[in-house]
Amino acid sequence: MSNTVSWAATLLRKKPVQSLTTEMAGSDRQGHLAPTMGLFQLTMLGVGATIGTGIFIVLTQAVPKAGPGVVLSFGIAGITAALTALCYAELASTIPVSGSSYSYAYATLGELVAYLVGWCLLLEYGVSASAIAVGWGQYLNEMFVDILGWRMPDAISEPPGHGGYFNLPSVVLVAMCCLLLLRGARESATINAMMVVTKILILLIFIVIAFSAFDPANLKPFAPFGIAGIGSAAGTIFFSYIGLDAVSTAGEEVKNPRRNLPLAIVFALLLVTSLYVLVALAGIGAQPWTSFAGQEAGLAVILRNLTGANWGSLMISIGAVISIFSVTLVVIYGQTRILFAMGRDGMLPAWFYRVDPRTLTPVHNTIIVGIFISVLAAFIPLDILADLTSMGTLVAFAVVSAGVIILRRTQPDLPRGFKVPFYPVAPILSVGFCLYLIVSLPAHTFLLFAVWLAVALVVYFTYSIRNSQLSPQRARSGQAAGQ
Amino acid sequence: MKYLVGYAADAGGREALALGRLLARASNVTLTVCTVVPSSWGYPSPARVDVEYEVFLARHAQRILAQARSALGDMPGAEFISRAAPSATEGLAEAAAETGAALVVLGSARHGPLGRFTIGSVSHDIFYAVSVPVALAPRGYHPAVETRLKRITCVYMPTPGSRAALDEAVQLCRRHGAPLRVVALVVRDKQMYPSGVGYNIENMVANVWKTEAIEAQQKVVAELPPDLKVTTSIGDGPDWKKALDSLGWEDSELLVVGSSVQSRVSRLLLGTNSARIIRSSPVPVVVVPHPPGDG
Repeated sequence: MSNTVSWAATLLRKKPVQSLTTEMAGSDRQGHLAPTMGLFQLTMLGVGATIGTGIFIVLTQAVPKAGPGVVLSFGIAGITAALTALCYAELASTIPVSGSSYSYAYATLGELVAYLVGWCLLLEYGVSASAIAVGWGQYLNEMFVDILGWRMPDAISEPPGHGGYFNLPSVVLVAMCCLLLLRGARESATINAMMVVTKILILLIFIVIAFSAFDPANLKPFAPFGIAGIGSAAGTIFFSYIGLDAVSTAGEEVKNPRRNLPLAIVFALLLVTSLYVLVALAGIGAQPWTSFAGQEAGLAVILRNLTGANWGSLMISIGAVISIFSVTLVVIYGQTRILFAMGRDGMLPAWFYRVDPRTLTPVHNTIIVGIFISVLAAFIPLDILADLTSMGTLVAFAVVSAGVIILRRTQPDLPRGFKVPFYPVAPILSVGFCLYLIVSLPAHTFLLFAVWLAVALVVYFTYSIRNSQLSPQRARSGQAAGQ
Repeated sequence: MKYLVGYAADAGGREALALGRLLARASNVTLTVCTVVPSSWGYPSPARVDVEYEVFLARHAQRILAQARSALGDMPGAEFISRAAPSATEGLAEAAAETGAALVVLGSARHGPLGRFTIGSVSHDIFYAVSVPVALAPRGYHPAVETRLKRITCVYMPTPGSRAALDEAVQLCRRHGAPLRVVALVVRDKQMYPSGVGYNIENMVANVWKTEAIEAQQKVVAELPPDLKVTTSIGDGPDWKKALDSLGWEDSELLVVGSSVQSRVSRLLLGTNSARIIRSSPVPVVVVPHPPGDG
């Protein structure tokens, strides 16, 4: 009996918030900076982080599943994203430092849950970076077509499964991003603002031009595969809402978080969803829904077919190439830092958190992440990547939402900087929506996800459980390192 | 032992001379002051205009060296030479090789801020041309004649190049009877925006590096000779300049830093920390080359 209890205690051990604070202390040792972000910056942060992850490539995957009803799928995915982001914000505000959902889960829900959330984040970040990188290659190719009238050979530029064998452009993109990260190049808040404007402009250009050729006949039949089709497409589309958590994790940087966090999440979501729905509507109005399947660099190609000229698609392609680049950089960065944090906690081997004395960046970590992402991008078809990303993200968000309910019951007195409105309806709905979207993902995604979790558990029980900084053997060295 | 001072008739030359004088204020070190003039055409020309030019250059060099002599003041054993070469770097490298100089002293380029060293064309190339340490005088450097080194600081990051720098710093300390300070720098990188991993995650990376750096420091200090006075310190700041400033400096101090020999490609792609330290240091810097093939 006592054995079972100690096992449970091991799996549920929590990281003290104090050690999180120490780990993230700045050079002045005076604690945190004054909050700097107001509602507007925070909203722009959310919009910037979200747009660009998926909208440039997701129509090709989603429209064949739902038909014109994909417009509703965007709505469903958007509501789910908003609910989860609100829950995430509560969990984040409970821990007075900034971090990822891995860190929050570790401090509140215990080690095993945190560890599994970490592996889900690998899907959210690592695999989505691959998916985005594949999309980048397609737009790069369209750009070549518009400028040079030449395209790269299919074998090295097409996603595998669509006539290609090795997706070279995506590998090049990932390599460039990793190199920049090794150098310590970072996107600042200013560059983010510029990127937001670029991305919104491209999408607006697309919307305006495509709407000029709007044909209502294309909207019929509205839902050729019924509700199931719309749900299934929403699962895939959820991938294009990743990034909204950038708002939730802003934590201590936010002025008046009780008011600004939920408002920023809602505003960012409204902006993003309206843009997405307009893009989808414009695309569907411009060509029959059956034409979307297999169409690469969708937005650019639609414009070229519509106008019969290159300039429209060229603008879209250039904009997409630039903004997808910036998004990939951000996502790969997030991935390396999550692995860094996991390595720091002893969940992963030490080389994930070794800092190279020459670059002062985690070099091994970045290289491993780069290789992992490039291999996926080079050899795995895009639709599988997109679905896996959605799967990982949805599971992580479902856990976070459930975590809000669990924490309110187990530790009701914990000070919370921000509380989910309409408790407990919002978190329950959030979990419900996540589960609905998860269930509507294709069966092979479940299989892959099960394999993924199995690998994660094997690593946990063979390595992490003993090497955790919280395990009794390691406790002393952990304290030494924290000082 | 000889130190070679690269002298030109400008403020940079005078600053190099001042640093050379300070460094030569140690047992059995003599200075060789070298000025480089353009090499003339090596063939007889019609009307022998090249000879006229050569005569002019020789006189010019003598004038410059006379200036250097008066600027240096009384310095037993000091030599003054001039050398004709296609570039100042080549001339200095040849002179260094011929005189067997153990150290080359240079002044700063003029376009940088006062009190810091700015890499110019000569200092940019000299690291490739010579295999001995190079001392760099910051812009506006003019210590009083009787100044002595109060402390020598060595940047020790656990890279191969750092070890050679530390050995050189130990020798300099012995020669000047100055205490040694071993430092490592923690530069807090900018934070990525937007980020789903929080907005001070980069501090976690910096703090892990700090722990690593302190461990490496303790290890290497334990290996130093016990009779040497050694302190350690960590410079911590949002960029290289602030990290260096946070260390606190004596008014006559020297910074020793290693430069690992990298291929031009990796230099271009990754940049070098030594270049950043050189640009940001508030005191003269001695750059110690890392012998190729050694670790």
